[in-house]
Amino acid sequence: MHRICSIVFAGFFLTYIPLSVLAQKADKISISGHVKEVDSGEALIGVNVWVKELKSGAVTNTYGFYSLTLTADQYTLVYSFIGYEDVIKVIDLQENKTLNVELTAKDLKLKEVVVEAEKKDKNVSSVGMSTVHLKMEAIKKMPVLLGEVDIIKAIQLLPGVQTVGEGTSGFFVRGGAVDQNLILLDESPVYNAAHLLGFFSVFNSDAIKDVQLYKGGIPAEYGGRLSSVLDIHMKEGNNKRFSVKGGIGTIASRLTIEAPLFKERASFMLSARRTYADMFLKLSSNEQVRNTILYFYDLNAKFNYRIGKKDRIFLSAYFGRDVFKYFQNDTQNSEINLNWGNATGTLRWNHVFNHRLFSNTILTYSDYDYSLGQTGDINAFTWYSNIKNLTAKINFTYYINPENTLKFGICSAYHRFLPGTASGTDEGGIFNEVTLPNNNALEHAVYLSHEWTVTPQLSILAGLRYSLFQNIGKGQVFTFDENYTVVDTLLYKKGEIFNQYAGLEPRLNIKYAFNNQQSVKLSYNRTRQYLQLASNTRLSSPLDIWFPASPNVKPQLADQIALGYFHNLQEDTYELSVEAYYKKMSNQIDFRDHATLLLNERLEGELRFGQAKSYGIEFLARKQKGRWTGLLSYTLSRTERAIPEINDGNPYPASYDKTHDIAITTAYQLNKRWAIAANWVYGTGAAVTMPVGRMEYWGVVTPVYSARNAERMPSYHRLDVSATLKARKKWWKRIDSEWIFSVYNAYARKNTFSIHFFQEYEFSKATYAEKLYLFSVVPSVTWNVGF
Amino acid sequence: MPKHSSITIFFLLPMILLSNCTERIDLELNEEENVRLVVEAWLTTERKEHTVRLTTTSSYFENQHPPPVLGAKVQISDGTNVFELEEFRWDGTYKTAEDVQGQVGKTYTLSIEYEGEVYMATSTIHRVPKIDSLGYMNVYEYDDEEYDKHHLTLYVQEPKGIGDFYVFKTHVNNQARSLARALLISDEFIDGNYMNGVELKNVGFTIGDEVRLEMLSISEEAHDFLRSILLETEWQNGLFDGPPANVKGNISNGAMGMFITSATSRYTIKIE
Repeated sequence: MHRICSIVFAGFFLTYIPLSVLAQKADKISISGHVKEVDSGEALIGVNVWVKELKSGAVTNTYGFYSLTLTADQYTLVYSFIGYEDVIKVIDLQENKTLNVELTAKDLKLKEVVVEAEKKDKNVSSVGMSTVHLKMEAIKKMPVLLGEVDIIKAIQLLPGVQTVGEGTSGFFVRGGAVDQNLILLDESPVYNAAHLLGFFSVFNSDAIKDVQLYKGGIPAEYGGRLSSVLDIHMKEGNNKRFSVKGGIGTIASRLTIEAPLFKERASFMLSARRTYADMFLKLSSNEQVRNTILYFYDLNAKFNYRIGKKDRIFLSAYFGRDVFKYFQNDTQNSEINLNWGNATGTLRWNHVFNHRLFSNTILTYSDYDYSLGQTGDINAFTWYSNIKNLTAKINFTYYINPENTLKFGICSAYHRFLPGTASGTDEGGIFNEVTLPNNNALEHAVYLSHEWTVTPQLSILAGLRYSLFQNIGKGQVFTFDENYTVVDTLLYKKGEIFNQYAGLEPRLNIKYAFNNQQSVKLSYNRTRQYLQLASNTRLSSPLDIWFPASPNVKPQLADQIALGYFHNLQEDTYELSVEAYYKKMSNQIDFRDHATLLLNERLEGELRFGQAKSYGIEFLARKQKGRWTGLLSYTLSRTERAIPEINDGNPYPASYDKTHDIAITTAYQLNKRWAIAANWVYGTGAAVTMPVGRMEYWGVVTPVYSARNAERMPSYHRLDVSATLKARKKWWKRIDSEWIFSVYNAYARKNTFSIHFFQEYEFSKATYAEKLYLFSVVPSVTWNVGF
Repeated sequence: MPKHSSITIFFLLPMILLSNCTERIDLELNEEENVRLVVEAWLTTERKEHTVRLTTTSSYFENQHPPPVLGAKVQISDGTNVFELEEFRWDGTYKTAEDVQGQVGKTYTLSIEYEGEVYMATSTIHRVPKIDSLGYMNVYEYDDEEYDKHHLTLYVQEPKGIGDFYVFKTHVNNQARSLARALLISDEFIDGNYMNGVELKNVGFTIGDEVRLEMLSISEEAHDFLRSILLETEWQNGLFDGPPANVKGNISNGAMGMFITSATSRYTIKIE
């Protein structure tokens, strides 16, 4: 299979590329360079580089790099980016040329209220659809829970992205499950994006530069998850001057330092965040609560170094941890503790081979682990589990001419799963050691994609990805009979490839623009997923169990088709879009009733497989310019699953299926000092199973159910508001500061998170229903300072 | 056991974060038209009257005792002997003669004939170790749970060989506690170990209580059934529950409930 992989890879390059190269004319000359922000030296992504004479142009990539291939002549290049002053360069292009440009923000005030900064008419003109790019400035304006700015919460307001309940870091994109989102932090996968049960995400807003979400039309360079890609980039670090930013919030404090090094050839960013929720617990009247320690912290670091004109190196890392400790009594000698966290690391090397060929070589490492334990008596035990990933990839971008761009690359990943090892820790304790066998797997992919501007109206982005997954020893595989009882156990030697899956993943995007304001787009993508999360709960639990495809678990597969209409009004002030999608997913996983997922060696015997489908219409309206900005999103959708052994094989709505979902966010700049913002969200009830009767056994009244998820929860709605006050004067003429006051759930609606059914007391004949809600009104204050 | 401990920790975490975020509500529920037979049957190695209770499902908020099933023909057989059960109470309870006693290793079949339908279940009696001793400890508890003063401590040798399942049943001053206060144990993590004074945290006792603890061996099927009931009721925590589902028993022909057979080991202690 290795051979097949390399043949396909070679095939891509040997047949496709030379043809494309031959297709070019010899007298073409390239101009390329980087576009940066003048203040911070941060690369600007999505800057429009317009050749006035030709009425065509290019856009800078993720690293701020652009390239244009033109015939020898005189040209006027216009570099434009929303919120920044245009830069106009007149060039006489006679030989290949490098032109680096720095853009200046028009006005700080305006820049702050920009919801999104990218090519002005990108909504209409880009070939991609079902993607949303969010700038941190916009996210920071939104009112949030306890003042903690959160990328994931902002993503959840977009059409096609759903949540269950509130305060969760999990999100469901177009009917896909939580583990079907590929979350990348500087290209490194993040396995668990939740802090503190998901009330906060692991992304520290001060360390993040921008966020891109792909819900469909996923480009060929991404793979490994079915439903979406959330691509998050950390700040590179100010390479012009030393800067410090910090904030003190209701539950957390943040500090970020950025500075240039080696005469602006390098820069770094260092950011830290720590919560102090447990300080408030100390004030509790309940002794049990007082004896609890609960906090999390994050560290983000990034370093980049420019070696000559052609090479740049980036090194970035994330480390975060949640800690929960609970003392069983006053003497504090018996303790229950639970801690979990992610660590990621990325090494990237950007190389400009020549004016047309750009490469990005990446090495990433990601680790998620948790441990749970109890000390102090003979019940003492510890339980540890982790998942690790090591990935190497090379991506190339080849700018053939302004009409044609090729992207191609290869990627290899090693996954290691340690599902759990538990053992007693006390001398004379009662527990034996139990270790679930490790799992190892390799995942490889090659891809090629071609963006072709056929005419100014018509563009096509066509891509093909080939992925190969291999289970590799040392490993243990159970064989199950039709009753899911283990009938055989197979053991494999270290390094032995004992199972593999492979397949093609075609991707296609087509755009037809009627004019500068209107376009229609069509996309199709097939995605494959080889890793999944064993979770059947609604909130993301830190006790994650990721498991790979195997002889018993076929890879998940999805096909999605989407059609959209895009319309910009009043010089791109208003952006409108309507998209319809249909998605079919196979080898979807659910669990048998009352499954045991934790520390279960025979986990695969708890799995049940079937199909899922999702379809819907999404409407998005945005205003991104001016004193007031806002976003209106509406989703009408349906997601159904059908698994032969669940619900008697009848299709049932997914637990996150909501028919209507509405989000409105708006911000208004009152004057130089005051800005206000509000969010309102509304969703019809998610699908839920409710009792149709009861039975009694050994003094306990137990609900009896009929169909799964046949009922609906009450509808959900919530208003959040915030106000930002900038300090009148800068301290010592340098230091800016601002206060942010926010109220989450302003009208204190007790939104139902879940409904439970209880018996009054033992042997009682009386029962009652109780709803659980997570938050009433939550006010908060945050103070930010920086220079 | 770590499984259950972890569940406990998980209860604590949301409890601390979300205290008082619950509210009783009124709900209109749909009702299932077909009423199903519910069987609660238990045969042990003790020489006594063993009981089978037959009831039916009813609507969830009915707030009445479950409708009894009367006039059924109930018998338990071990392959050679057949024990007839007779109806003896208004609530659907049927009992064997006084001298019936199950034997470890034997497989028993329960059969019920009612309104022309036949319902069957089989179960084997597994081994149980003898409880060496019980103790109790004065536990410090946080002030909001004042009544929990003492926990039992258990001394018993778990027999070697994985695959033993137990349920601990408690009687306080001759009053049986329900499944909600029972303790379910699988030997998966403790196989062959000596329980040298393990604290049983499921029930708290006060001074003067006479406590009888029964350690009952059960099949894996019965363990899963009781665990499912607890998952649906006592172990609900609001945040990390799996999807609700019917508890699956071992009675044929669409009836609910479980026929459990056990070897019993018991110990009585007075808290002083």
